[in-house]
Amino acid sequence: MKKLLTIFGLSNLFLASAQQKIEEVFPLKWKQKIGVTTYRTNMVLDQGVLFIGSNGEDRNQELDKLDGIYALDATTGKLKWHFQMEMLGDNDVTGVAVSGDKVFFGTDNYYFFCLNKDTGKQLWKFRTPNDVESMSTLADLNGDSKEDVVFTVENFGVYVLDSEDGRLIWKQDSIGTSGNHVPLCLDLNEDGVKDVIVGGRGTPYTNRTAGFKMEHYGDYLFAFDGKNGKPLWQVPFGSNLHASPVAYKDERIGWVICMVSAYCELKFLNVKGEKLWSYSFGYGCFASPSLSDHNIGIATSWGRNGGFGIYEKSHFVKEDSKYKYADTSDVVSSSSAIADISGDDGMEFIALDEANRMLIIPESKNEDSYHLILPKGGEATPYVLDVDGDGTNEILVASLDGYLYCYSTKRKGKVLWEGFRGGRKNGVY
Amino acid sequence: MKLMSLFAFVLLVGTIWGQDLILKQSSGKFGYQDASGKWVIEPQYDDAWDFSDGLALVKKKGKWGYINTQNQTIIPFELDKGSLHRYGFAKIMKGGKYGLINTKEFVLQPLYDLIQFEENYRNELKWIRITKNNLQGLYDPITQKVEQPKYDKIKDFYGYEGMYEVSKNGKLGLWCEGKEIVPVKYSNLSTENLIIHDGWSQVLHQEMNEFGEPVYVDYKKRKFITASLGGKKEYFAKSGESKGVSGELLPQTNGNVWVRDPKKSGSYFVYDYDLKLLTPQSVIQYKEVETKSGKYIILSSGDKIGLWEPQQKKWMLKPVYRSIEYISGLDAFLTSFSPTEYDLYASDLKTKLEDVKSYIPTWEENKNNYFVLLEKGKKYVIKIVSGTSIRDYKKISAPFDSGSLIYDPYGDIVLNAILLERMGKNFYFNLLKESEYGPVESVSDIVFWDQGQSLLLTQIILKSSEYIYLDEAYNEVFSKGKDVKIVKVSAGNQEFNFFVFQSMVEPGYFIQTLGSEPINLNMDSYKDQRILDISKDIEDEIYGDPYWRKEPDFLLVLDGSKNGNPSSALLHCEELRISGAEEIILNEFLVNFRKNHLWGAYIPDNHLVVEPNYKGNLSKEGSFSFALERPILISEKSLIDPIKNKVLAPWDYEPEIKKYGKFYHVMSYNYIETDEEERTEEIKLTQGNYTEIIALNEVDDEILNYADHFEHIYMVKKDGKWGIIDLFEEEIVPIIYDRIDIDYGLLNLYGYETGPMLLYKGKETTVYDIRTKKQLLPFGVRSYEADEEYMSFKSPLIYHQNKKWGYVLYNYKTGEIKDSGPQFDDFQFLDESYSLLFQKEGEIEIHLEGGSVIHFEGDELIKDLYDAFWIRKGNKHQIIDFKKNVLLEFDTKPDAIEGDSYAVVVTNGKLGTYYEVEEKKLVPKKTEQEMMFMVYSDYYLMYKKDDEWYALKSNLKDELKIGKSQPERIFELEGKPILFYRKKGITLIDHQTGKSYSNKKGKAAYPKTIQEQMLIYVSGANVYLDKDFNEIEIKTGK
Repeated sequence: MKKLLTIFGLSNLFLASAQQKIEEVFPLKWKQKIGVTTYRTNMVLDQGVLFIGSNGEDRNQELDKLDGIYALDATTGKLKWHFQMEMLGDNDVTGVAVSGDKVFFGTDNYYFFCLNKDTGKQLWKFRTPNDVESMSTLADLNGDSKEDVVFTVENFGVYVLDSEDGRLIWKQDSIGTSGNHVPLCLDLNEDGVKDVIVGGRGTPYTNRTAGFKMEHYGDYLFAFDGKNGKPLWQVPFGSNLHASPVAYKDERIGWVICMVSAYCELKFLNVKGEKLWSYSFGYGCFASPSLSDHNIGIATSWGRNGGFGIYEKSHFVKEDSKYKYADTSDVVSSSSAIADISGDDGMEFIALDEANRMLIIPESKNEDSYHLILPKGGEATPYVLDVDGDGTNEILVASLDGYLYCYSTKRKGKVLWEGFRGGRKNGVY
Repeated sequence: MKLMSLFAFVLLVGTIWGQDLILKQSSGKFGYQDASGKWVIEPQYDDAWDFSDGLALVKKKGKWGYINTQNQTIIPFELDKGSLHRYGFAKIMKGGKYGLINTKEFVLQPLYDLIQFEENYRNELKWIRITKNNLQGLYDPITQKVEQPKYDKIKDFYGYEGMYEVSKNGKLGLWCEGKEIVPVKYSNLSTENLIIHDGWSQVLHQEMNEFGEPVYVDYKKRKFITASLGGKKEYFAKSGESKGVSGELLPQTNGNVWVRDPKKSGSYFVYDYDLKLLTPQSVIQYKEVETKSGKYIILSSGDKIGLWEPQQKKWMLKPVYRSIEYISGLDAFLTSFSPTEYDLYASDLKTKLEDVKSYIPTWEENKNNYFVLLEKGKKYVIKIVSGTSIRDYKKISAPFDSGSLIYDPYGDIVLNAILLERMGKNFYFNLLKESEYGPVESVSDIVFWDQGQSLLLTQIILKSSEYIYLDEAYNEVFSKGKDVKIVKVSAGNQEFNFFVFQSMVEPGYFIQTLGSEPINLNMDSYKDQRILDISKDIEDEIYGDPYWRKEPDFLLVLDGSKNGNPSSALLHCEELRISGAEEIILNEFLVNFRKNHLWGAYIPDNHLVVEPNYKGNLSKEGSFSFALERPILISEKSLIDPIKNKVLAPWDYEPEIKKYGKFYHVMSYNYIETDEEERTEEIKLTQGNYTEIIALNEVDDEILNYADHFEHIYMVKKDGKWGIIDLFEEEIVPIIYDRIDIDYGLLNLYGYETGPMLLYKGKETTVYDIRTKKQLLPFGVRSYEADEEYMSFKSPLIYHQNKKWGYVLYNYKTGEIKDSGPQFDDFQFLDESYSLLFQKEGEIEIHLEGGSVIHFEGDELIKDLYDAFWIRKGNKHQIIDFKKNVLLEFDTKPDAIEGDSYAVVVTNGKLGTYYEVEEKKLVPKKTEQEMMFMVYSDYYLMYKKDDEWYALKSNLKDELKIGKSQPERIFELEGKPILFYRKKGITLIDHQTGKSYSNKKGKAAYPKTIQEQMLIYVSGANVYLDKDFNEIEIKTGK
């Protein structure tokens, strides 16, 4: 951050102690009222349009006019269209995915939708047995060279739909998912079709799953054959899984799947589900890991105290040996974006706490972490990208005050992990 | 559970996903097809949703209506909005107002501002809340009764089906089946533990037992409702009938209930739970006693106590006594009229055993006899009471004046010893060994810690100043001694604990181990002997948590000036270290001694002697650092290595700036003050020939747990190579290595504090122990593993070489190294048994925590079962425990095994069989469908029978029928089973009442029961619930 600090004439100490407002460093470009979001909320930028789901004024309110999905002009923040399903009930939308001319999302009112991304007109809808609480992953699982839609339904497992018409390709509802999980799609069994990795537990309201006994306190990470949804492997965790798995390629090992449990048991698995190594580092992990070349960023919270840690991917990392760690005095539920927002060629991990802080943790060990004060905190992962195409990056913050804020970094910089699950990387680095 | 059955059909058709008719869109219009793709309802609607409960919500000309599968309009197209049917109902909106329909018609016309389904955790409907003009009403789906909105608030009443607490203007009432059964006028409304009325839910009450632990009491399905108004309570039955019982109700731990006698302050009527009055009148004391002859009640209604027989309703002992005490060991009652008049009765109350003038209320078991101290005349005797007979104990011949039993150091277990007093003198008598000592000055218990275990010695100090020590079996360990200490002695590769007794009769000390002959050290030529305790803090571990304890380490300082020659000796354990000293002074770290007017020192930690070359006493010269395993004397202006007699260059800086010897590696912030500014400056000084210097004690202390060990030791780089030097620039590790790794894991190499490190030269690696300064292994191409999980296990050093696994065991104390060689095909850390698995063909080697190794013949370890293993040996499948007992064997592979060496559930197909160990074999106990253990629960097993779930406690008797929905956990709160479910946060259900608590904030951990409360952790807050699921406290934070 040295360059940034020089530009603004500030020292790290000053930044940390002066409670500097974000606008003083990153000017506000626009803001738009969309309602509140959750730690599973993601944003998608597509051809100058920003898509985001909203839980409305209140996450449980009926007749909440802010519920639904928003398409915004990414340059101005102006509303292009807003869609809310026309039915009484809770019409919250949390995760969104875009492919071709289609936008996909599920609701808390038992439906999954596909809309035309330009018009917001409904193309198809699919009735789900329960809420859909997170974004879908797009991958071709039926071999028609078109991306299919893979998503979890709260307590009812994994569903795979044909993106063209919403036809069910397969479902694996013998596991109960918390609904928080975004499926990770990777070809595990090398049959040319991506497989589905997702956290879960027993069948709805039970401990039982197809083929295995739940003998264990925590949740399991499951892998299902992408072709038919049959179980490939399962790995137990010591506590619940709220985060979603990510993966990266290691030169020696190949794909390494990385998953963290609610009590911060971080496991690294190979494609067979065999544990490569693991370490534990705290409590209260709801955010999904974010990945850089050498490190993993994970937010933790315990009670009202939170923090964000960067951990090495290395096998030789010891328990509690945080590569870097930044404390904050409120819950951190958001995952981080990873980008060079300072323009110094170094990467920064950017996360939010739920009070009013944007945590900025430079990946370099030599630079201090600090935070900037936001109007209000957030649960949703900040989104960093050049959203308006002016050659410099913006930071988008979906705040718990119901507004989506767009701040300008005014500088170019590499973006490694643009938002929740790395944006379009969707967990695969 | 009427509601459940009423809606069972509706739920089946209504909430299960998947419909016969499939919603399809064609040319902008919606219709429905069958599974074959044939249009059943032609596309004609502008918008539509899927069928639920047989109806579909469809839109025509801007309005919504409901059709059935024959496309008949059931609810006309007049609605602004609708919803899917759930539980047979759907909310609709018309003219901006909510209404409710069932599958045929309107249930509630669209008149309301809001209609809400109140659901339980399974998404099953409980009731429907209707709101208008900020007032609430309800629709009860069981009775189909409607209460129009007139209350401020309506909520469930403690989970009672069909009962609702209604409130208006801050006053509470109870609504049931269409009427207010308790009028809305009360300030408080609660359930009450009361024994009168049947048919309601189980009531439980929690009390503390004598140890302060909660005990739970079952009040047998009886409950009342209490409504209080202005502090006065009224009691209502479910029907609304007031039972009018007055007085405070005090449930008791034994299942009884006390009702305060309104006419007599401090008195109670005692009822059992069949509402039978147990007492002849109201009482102030009530104590039930179970004797071998039957059940009695010790009662008092005034200041006199009697013994009441509740069955025959008669006094066994009339209430005339000052006290009645049942002594269970004797099965006898001790009654008293006055402090000096006691009678002892056998529990049949027919046999009077003894008249007792005074009584020392202690007794103890010796085989089948019981001892009691009784006064006979003015003397005490010991009697043996057995059943209804009583006789004198002959072993103590003379009566005594008083006596008391001796308790153990914790005061809660009576030992088999009595302290007797005769003629003003105390005598110690051991009832087991029948041995007597005295006169006694004092008797005390001394607890020594020996390698994590306590050793208890009874120290009897006689009037003659003689010390006698008895072990826990009352054997004499030493007599005729003066004092005792424990000395830890290393001999060869073993350590012994020596008890050092100062003898009464012979000069000098005797040292012996327990049970061995004393060794006389012939120290009688010395004038005085002192034992100096230089106890050290030792870190130990209990259940994984470290704690610190003192480990005594003694020095014998022998003063030899007895014969006029100033000559002292110092003995560390059995080892003579110094002789001929003129003076010996001990300080915290070292023993200073003077010889020929010059001072030297002995360092017990390292067994080092600093030759007497110094004019001053080293203890007074400055502070010491011992990191180089020799004392480094840090004086004001210099550092001295007294062993090598080296003095380093004086230092110029203030002590807070670290600067050692000829070079400086100091990383510090120093305040620089100039005329213009005050700033901090990082000082990084290096001097000498090194390009890089890393102070090992300043490596991240999370990685280096033993930083102190590395104080004044530096890893240095010179000409591109690494080595290690000390403060005096002496090479500890030659500066020839490409890389040195001081990795966390390697620190734990068996010796735990050895500080081994990896040295790299080209592709080759070796392990070096900095403490012994030894290269432990020859260089070789090996990849050493350091994984937190197994390193915290204090494991051997594990490596990978030529695609095989191997390990190195190293004991730094003995220098012994065992290298298995790279011979294993697999290595794993086994999480359950906390052990290491090394496996090769036909052979399994398990390293248990603590270092012991088990070898099995076997082809595969299939599962780690905590303290046993599931092993495949050819086609056989075995469960083998740590002692290699084959507990269970199968000819074919079971589908699954879970459990441990005590109990397993083996699953084959749909059947699960529960086995328990009996005589080293696992024996089948129960076979059911889909059986599983319930961990972290108050129940043990869960399984299915006839499509219903059951839970079973570990006694295999207390079976709990749960029903169709399987909970994740079952906790008990005040004895009530609480079913735990997770969906959008958590839901708790009182199994008996069906009352539920949900917290849907999403982020939830498993609850805990803490005494009478349940603690759940949701969304960053701890929520404490009482047994009725009221939130009694919410705390953010841990």
